[in-house]
This record gives sequence, structure tokens and C-alpha cells, in this order.
Amino acid sequence: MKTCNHILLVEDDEDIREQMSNILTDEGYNVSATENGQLALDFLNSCAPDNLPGCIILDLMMPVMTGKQFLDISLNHDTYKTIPIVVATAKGSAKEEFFDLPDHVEKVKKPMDIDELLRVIEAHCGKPTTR
Amino acid sequence: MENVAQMHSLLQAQTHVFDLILKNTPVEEVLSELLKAFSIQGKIVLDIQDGLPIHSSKGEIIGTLSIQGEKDEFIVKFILKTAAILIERHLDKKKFSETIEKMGDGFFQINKDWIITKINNTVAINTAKESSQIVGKNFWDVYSAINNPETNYYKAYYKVMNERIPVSFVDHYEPTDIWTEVDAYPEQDGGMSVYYRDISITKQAEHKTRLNEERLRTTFRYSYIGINLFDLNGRFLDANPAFCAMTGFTLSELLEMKKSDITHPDDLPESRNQFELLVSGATPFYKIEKRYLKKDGSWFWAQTTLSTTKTLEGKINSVVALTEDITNRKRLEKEVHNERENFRNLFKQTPEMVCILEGPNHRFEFVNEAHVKALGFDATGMEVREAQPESKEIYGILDNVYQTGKTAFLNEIAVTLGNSLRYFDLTYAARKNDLGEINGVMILGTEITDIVNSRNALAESEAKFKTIANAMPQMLWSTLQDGYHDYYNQRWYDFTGVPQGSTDGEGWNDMFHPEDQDRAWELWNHSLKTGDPYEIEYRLKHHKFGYRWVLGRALPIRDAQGNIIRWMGTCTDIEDQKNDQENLKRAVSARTEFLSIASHELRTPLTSLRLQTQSMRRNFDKGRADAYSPERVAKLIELNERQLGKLGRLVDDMLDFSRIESGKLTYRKVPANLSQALSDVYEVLKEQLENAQCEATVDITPDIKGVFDIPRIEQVLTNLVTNAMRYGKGKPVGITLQKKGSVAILTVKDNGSGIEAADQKKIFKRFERLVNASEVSGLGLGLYITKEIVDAHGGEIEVKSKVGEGAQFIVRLPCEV
Repeated sequence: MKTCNHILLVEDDEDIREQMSNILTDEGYNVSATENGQLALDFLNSCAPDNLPGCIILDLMMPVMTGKQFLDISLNHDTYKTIPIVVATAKGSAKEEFFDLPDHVEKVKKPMDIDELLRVIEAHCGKPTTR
Repeated sequence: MENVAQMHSLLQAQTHVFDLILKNTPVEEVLSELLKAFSIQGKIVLDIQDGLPIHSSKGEIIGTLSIQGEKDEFIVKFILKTAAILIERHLDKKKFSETIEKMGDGFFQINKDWIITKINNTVAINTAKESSQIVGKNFWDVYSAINNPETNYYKAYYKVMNERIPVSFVDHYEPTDIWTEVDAYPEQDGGMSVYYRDISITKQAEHKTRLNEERLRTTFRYSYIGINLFDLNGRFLDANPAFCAMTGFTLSELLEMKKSDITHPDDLPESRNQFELLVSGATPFYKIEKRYLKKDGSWFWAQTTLSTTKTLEGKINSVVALTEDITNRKRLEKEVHNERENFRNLFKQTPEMVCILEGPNHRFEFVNEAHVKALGFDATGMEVREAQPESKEIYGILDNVYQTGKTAFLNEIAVTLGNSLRYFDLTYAARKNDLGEINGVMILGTEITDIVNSRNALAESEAKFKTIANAMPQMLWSTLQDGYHDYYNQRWYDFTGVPQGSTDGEGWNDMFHPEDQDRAWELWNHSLKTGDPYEIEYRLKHHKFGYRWVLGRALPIRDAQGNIIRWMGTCTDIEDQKNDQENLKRAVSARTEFLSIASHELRTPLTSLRLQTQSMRRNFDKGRADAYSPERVAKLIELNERQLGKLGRLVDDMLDFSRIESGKLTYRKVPANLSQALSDVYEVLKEQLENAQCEATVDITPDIKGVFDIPRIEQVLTNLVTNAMRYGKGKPVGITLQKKGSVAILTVKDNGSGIEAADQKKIFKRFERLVNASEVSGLGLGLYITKEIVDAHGGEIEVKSKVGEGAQFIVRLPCEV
């Protein structure tokens, strides 16, 4: 498992995005935050192939491009499809529960338990370099 | 022979006497001449009154001769006793010659050469010739008709001429068709004298007698009626073949028997009694029906008429019996009787009422059991008015039938019997006697009270059914077994507005919505085929409100054998129900949607707060004191406040919604300054607008006052401005408050993408969010609550918008002028 502490956070709610960025930054990750799927794709496209994030934390319900639309594209992308993705799904939402996802895509229920989230990220990205 | 000779001499004498009379010779002289001529010997007493006895040569009185008369008229009576011939002649002296010529007896003389020498006038008359044509002619020339050796004339005349003896004979003279009695005498000149007289009358009388006798004999012999003679003791004297045939006994057997031998013992006393009365002369005849014995031992019925024969002296000497076999008649009588009995029995037992009324007062002559049953008693012998004083309905009809003879056919006539009104089918026909005269009325009837009553009951129950059917709120219909619609209640006609009867048969299908017709038709046919209950929802055309949803149901009605005889169906208007259902469905789905949205919306601030808490715990656990710089803490507090505010608003909205839905949203309206209140709220909103980097222009006319629940009115402005910020895409927002008369007008205008016309009404409904749920957060209750608040203040809210040109919300509220 390669160790990469660069995480792409895709979350539409500004407050949550900021809080999660703070938390992940506190843990030592290098966080890039975008507010929808389209901006996330744009960000990936702008990265050098050898400098892609080691993990993507993806919210599903977002304006402009939803998490699902993003997944449809990224999972079929030659390069992007290998990037581990942590999907934040809201409990009790039928739309999101019947979502078929590949093995390397993890699901984390909202509201998120920060310890669980960090454990999953750590499993994919390895332990971050402590500041 | 003696008689004939005497006759001859008498006639000779007669002629001689006549000659004398013609010569006016005195009577005494005539008489003496007469005596001389007759050569009658013995003493002759001239007795003019009693006639002169004429003696034969032997001295016997053979007759009397009397000549009476004076002056010109004589009556000569010449009676020859033995011949019992009375010759009576009225003679006129002057016409004596003619008279004698006209005398009945014919007379002619022939000489030895058969030449006629003398004839009298009778001959001339009989031959229809003049004397000159006969006298001097050959006899056989004149009487050529008898010149035939076969005739008695021929034989007798030749006998007289040849044998010289007198001959008497009787023969029929063909040419003039008369019977003659002829006496021919030889004359001394070798010729002969012939006297003949017409005896046709005698002959005919004889013939008649013989004929009568013949007839009687034939009758006796060939009659089909038995004829027999009894002596006065009842012994058989004679019997004809018919009687023998009837009894089977031969005549000779019968002649050995007595009347009582062949009479049935039971009939004997009367037979004997009657016979005795008859032979005693007490009765001239009698008639009896009795049984006779046959030779084979059996008995037969016969009717016998007995009468007596009498001697010339009037003494009863025998009994004549005429017997007719009446076995057949007796059998027929019995058959007729039996037949009549059979008919009576038939009538007695037939379930229909039969009775016969006799006479103009309609007396019951015959009634059968059914009639007794119907009436409750046997009316035989009573008059109708007596037996049924209450049945006044039928008197006139009976009288009319009796008077006119016209048969009356009465259908379903109501007749009062006792205390109840009963119904009958009746036929009244006149009964007639042999002469065709009406003597009674025959009645044939059937009671149909039960049928009429049940029919009336049916009509009544139908009327009841109709009332109920029309009273019920549903449309009701029924069909025949084949699905032919034959009944709709009034509700159907009220609903469809079509004329009565116009949808009978299959016309109903046209009333259905075109899209539903095929489906309904198919389902209905399926039910008709299988008997399955029919149930369907379809749109039925209301005459006023157009198509409305209707629930159609029908069930088959079966007879005792399980065969479908009708279908009964209903149509229930479920338009409102269906709408309610739709509304409910929508409400449920909206509520689910709301819950889903609400949970998402609630989750966001919760997630944020939770992340915050977990982060603080983690940093605290790891002793990262440096994680909380004053700048960061200030930011965290601000963030927490924001999330808590969001939570608070969500909860408020939900609470408001719940209150509105349950009608528990209360308003505390107080007099207030609307302008002031909205300006204060704007100060709070301004900060948010600035944070959202959204420009805003505000134009609030001051001091607009009224009665308001200020916190709620503030909520209105907050909601409208929040929406404008949210959907306005950061473009400028305009807020105005003006007054027009007694109406305060608040407008909030954004420059967003606008709202399509079709959506403009929806937005005020609960849970309506036009934009995809994932794009814009919020419960979608804002405008709904806003409208409720405006409504509660007696105001109104509308939106004006064009796609791409933003939207303007206008709120009008009553205020002080």
C-alpha cells in the first residue's frame, strides 16, 4: 500500500467541508476541498498523473454534479478508477442505500463518526505524516 | 143355374111389362100379362105396397115385384131375393123409352149366323157406336177385341151357340176397361141373347178388400214389430215372424205357451193386472214395458201395446199384442244417464267452479265441489240473490245473460263474497231447452284472488322498491339475464341528464368516457359470461360537471336453480373520494418526501455539530492545545451558532407546519407599526445578505400601521428574502413596502431564473420545491407557511414571474388607512 497523505474532499455544505478539512489537516493530511462533483473532476484533471490524491471523500447529495455522477465518470476513468473513495451516505435515504459500489469504494454513514472515517482513510492512504 | 134361368125369365118379363106400360095398358092388365109372360104358376097377390111375391116354378117365393104409381109416374120394384139384387128405377112415362135405353144392363141378340139382330142403348153407349153401325153386322166384327179363344167371352159364347146351354161368366172387357157380368142364353132361332152389366165398382171394392187383406197379411208377416194374438186366458193364438225372432221361439212352440211363460217374474204382477183390465173391457188398450224371456234363457226389454178384437156382436174374443224390442233404447237411455252422471262427476271434481242456475231468478240447480268451496256452502236449491246477497256485482250480468242469451266472458271480475272482495274469471252462458228457449244460466269460473292479490302485492312492492331505489344516493340499475338494461333509478337520470328510457339496452356505454368504454364493455361481458361480480371504476359523464369517476358494481341474481335471472348494479360517484384519495396519496408521498428532506436538512447541521464535538474530543485526547487558537475558536463558535440557527429554523418550520396542519397555529394580533417591524427585520437580514454577497435595495414607506402578529409578519419577510437570496443566484434583491388605501403592499423581487407559469400556483403548497432537492437545501415549507400567515391576516400573496427574468412576490395586507 502506497502512502499518500493527499486527500480530496468533495462536500457541498460549506460548514461541514471546513470542519472536515480542519479535522483532517489536524490529523496531518494534506486536504484539497471542492464543493461538487464537477469541481472535483476539474481538480483531478488539473493534477499531474503522478500526483493524484491518495483518497477521495465523496458526499453523494450535491448540486451541479452529484456524487453518483462523479462516480460514474471516475470509476470508468483509466487513471482515476484506482483511487480509493470513501462515500459518505446518509442513513435512511433509499436513493443512496441501493447504490452498487466496487470493493475499493468504502461507505461511511452520515452523520459521520470521525474515528471511523479516519480509520477508513488510514486503511487506504496509510498513516499521515504527523506535523 | 137356377138363378140364371130365373133371371132370364124375369128380364124377359120385365121387357114385356115395359112394353105394356109404354102402351098405357092398365096396371091390372100389365100384371096379368106379366104373370102370363113369366109363366109363373100359383096365386099372385097383388100388393102394391110390399110388392108382388114371385114364385119359382117350384112354388118358392124367389122375389117380389111391385109397381107403384099413379098418373104419370111409376116406380117398379123388382126384387129377386136369392140374387139380393135390387133394381129400382124411376120412370118417367114420357121418357120411358129413353130411360129403358139408358138402363145399365147391356142387351143384344145374335142369330145363328153371328149377325147382331137387336141391341139396346147401353150397348151403343158402351161401344160408342150408332145402333145402325152394330145391328146387322157380324158380332165378331163388332167385338173384334174379344175374338180370341183365350177370353172367357169367346169360350162362353161358342159354348152357348154350340151346346145350346145358358152360360154365366165374369170377364174384363179390355177396350172400355170394364168388368162385366155376363148371362148368355140360347134362342130358339139358333142364336142367343146376351145380357151383361158393368160390375167394375163391385169388382174394385172386392179388389180393395183383397188388397187390404193382403196388406194386413204382409204387415203381419214382415213387420219388424212383433205381433201376436192371445186368447182371453193369455194363451198364444198366433205370432208373427218378428215376434218369433225376438223371443227365439218358433210359432209352434209359442202356441203351446201362455203370456206369463215368457214374462219376467218381476214384471208379472203388473202385466197380469193390466191384461185382466183389458179383457174385462175396463180399458180399451194398455202399454207396458217389461222383460221377455228368450229361448236361450236371457231377458230382453220390450214395449208392448195390447188391444182387443171383438165379434160382430161386440164381444171381446181375442187380444192383439204389438211388441217392440227396446233393449237398445233402454241401453241408450242408460248410456245417456251414465254420460250425464259422468259429466256431473267430472264437473263435481274439476277444480274450476261449475254451476247451473235455473230460471229467471237464477236458482242453483247444480253446483260442484269447487263452487261449494268457493262459496263456503252448498247453494243448491237457493236463488242467487238469496245465497249471495252481498254479491251485487253479478246480478245484472246474470239477468242480462238470461234475457239476451249472450255469453258473458268476465275477466278478473271482483265479487264480494261474505266480507271479502275476491276475484274470478267467469263465463256465463245461457242454457236452452229443446225448443231453444233460455231456461237457465251455466257458469264456469276460476278463482284468481291469490293471483290478483299477489300481483297487487308485487305492484306495491315494486312501488316501494322504486321509492327506495330513487331515495338512495347511488345510481341503481338492473338488466335482464342477457345484460339488457331495463331499469335505472332517478339518480341515474339526475346524474346523466338523459331522457327516461334512452339508455335502456346498451345505450349506457356511450355515457362512459371514451377511454373507459372498451375496458368497461370487456369487463361487463366477462361478468355476463361467467357470472363473476362486476366491479370497475370509470368516468361517467355528468350532464353538468363533465366526466366524474364512478365506482360501478353489479351482482347477478339467481333463481332457485342457480340460473342468473337478472343483474342488479350500482354506480357510486367517487370523484370526491378519488380526489381525496389522490390528495391523500400526494400528502403521504409529500410527507415521506418531507421527512426525507427534513432528515437530510437536520442531518447537515447535526453532522457539522457532531464533527465539531468529535474533533474537539480528539484534539483534547491527543493534547493538541495548539489546535484552538483564538481565531479558530471564534470561527468555530460562529460556525456552531450558524448550525444551531439552522437547526432552530428547521424545527420552527416543522413546528409551524404541524400547527397549520392541525389548525393549532395561533396568532396574537396587536396594533402595530408594520413599517417599523419590517425595517427592524431587514437590519438582521442585511447581515445575511452581505454575507451572501447579495446586493439589496430597500424602500419602506414609514408608519404603515395595522393589527398584526408582528413576529409572524417578520417571518413573512424573512422567508421571502431568504428565498430571494437562495434562488436569486446572488443577484440583487429589491424590497418595497407601500400603502394603497387600506392595503399595505410588500414586494420582494429577485433576479433569478424565474418561475414557470404552471409552477406559480404550486409553490404556495406545502413541500413544493421547484428546484431539485439536492441543489437547494430547505424544507420547502417557507412559502406555504408564508401564505398561511398572510391568509390569517386577511391578506393575499401572489407571484409575478417570467422565466429568466426573476420573480416578484407581492403580499397585500389590510392596514389602517
